[in-house]
Amino acid sequence: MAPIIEVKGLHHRYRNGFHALRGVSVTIERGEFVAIIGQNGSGKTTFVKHLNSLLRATTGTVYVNGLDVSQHVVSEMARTVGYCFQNPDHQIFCESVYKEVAYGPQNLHLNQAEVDQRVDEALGAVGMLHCKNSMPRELSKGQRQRLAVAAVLSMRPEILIIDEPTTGQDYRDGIEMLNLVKRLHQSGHTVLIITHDMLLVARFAKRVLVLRDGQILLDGTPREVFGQPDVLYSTFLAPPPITSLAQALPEFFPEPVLSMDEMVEQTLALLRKR
Amino acid sequence: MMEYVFRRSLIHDLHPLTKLVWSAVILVLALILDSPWFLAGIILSVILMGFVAKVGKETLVYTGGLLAFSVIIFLIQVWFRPGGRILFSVFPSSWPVVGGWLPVTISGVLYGLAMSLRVLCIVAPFSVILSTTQPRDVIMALVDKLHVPYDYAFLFTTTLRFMPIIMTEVSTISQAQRSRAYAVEGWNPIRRLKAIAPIAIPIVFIAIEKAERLGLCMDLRGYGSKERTYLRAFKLRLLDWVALTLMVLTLIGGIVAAVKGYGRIVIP
Repeated sequence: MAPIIEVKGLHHRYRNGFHALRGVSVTIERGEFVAIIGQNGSGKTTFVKHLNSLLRATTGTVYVNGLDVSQHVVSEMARTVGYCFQNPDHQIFCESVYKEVAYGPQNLHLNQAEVDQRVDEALGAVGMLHCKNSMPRELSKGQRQRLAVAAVLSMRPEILIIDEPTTGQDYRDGIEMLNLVKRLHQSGHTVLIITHDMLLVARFAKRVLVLRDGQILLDGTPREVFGQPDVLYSTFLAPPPITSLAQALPEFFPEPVLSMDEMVEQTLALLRKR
Repeated sequence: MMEYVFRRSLIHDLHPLTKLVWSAVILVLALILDSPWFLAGIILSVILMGFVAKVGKETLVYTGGLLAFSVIIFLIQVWFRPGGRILFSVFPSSWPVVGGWLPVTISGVLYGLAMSLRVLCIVAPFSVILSTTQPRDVIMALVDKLHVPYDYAFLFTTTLRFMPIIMTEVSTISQAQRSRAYAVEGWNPIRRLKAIAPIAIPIVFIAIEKAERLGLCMDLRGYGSKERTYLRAFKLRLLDWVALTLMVLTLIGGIVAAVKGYGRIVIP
């Protein structure tokens, strides 16, 4: 099957002259879980905004699900690409959770029964069916963030883009959000997340894109990417602490370690050997 | 939209009040003198001032942008103040029925020129002032020299400062809603009005939130606890006095010229 996202030679120059993307080419297959990392200003958000036509390529081509994105407006791309913005307060405007989630499907001109079904499905997926009649503004920050995801899910997009899903959340909300993203990936979505949370990348992502100055610096599995700390340091990123610890002890851990469990396992194996 | 241009120049260094007086002098001169020659001289002096301030290009672009208005004003004047010799008619007199309509007269042309140049004279100085003076400096000058209460001045500068922030937020909100298939469709006014809600409601909440936070920050930094002192003293320097003297002399010269009748439009 054709890849779901195919980007070739993508350049973007903003109207103020800032050259944000300088030749990005990447292919993403259906069902991948990709984390995009990089410093602020490296082009992460600019890149994903090309996938649903919010931004138009200065040069280069972007194909999503076989569609030439430059030929379609954002509202058409919304059926395929669900883009969840970082701050849920930028989109919540309805007086009930139900209406908020129903807004997207209604924009797609679906009938009432279909809208209702999709709202239930989306709220179920984020575990918020019980707050269907709540006021969105009275929800906690974590709930509002999940509501924002539901509002996008209800359009049944194949691709989900989530901008910084864990930023500004407490530990519990962050974990809930991550489990949600993981479930959505398992249920068949192609997931792209933008994040600064390296633990999240190590634990959940199957593929990592590292951006620097509008170019892809590294592209590989978390193990491959975190195995090159020097390249990461060059753009002020660092592997998770547990990976760095292992890298500081190369005679015991020749391969990159991604989690506490791996570290424990390998340490026990070493101890037994002695 | 004119914006402050960060450059060093003689004009940038002038006291904001001096620049405000300058625009006032130009306003008075442009109103009391009618002759297109005088008015053309004034507009040239304003553009020259732009070049002295190293914002010549910006001044030209801005003044050029106003030309469209000037042309409209010129055309209106041409036909509303006819007089003197007829230069030509828009519909040549040889044409049947409409021949000789809309005559263009000498008086019409001169008054048209005067009016359109006058508008340029009145507006162009602001382009020089805005590109060489930070808005907050204008406000501070008003507080310092004209004793405008600081609270009002603060209100005004904060409003100016908030505009770009709010516009950025509006753009983000609009992108977020478009990602949910929001699209303004059709020409039905009620539908279009309804389509504002997804943008307007979030921006109102965000603006209130930002204003609340700003208020807290101001309290935390002791706003209104005592008489304020200022980091930068706004003093009229020698350069300002020289400029002010020149302006007063020019103004007197202009008034004398006007009283003696040199500024009048002479219809040959």
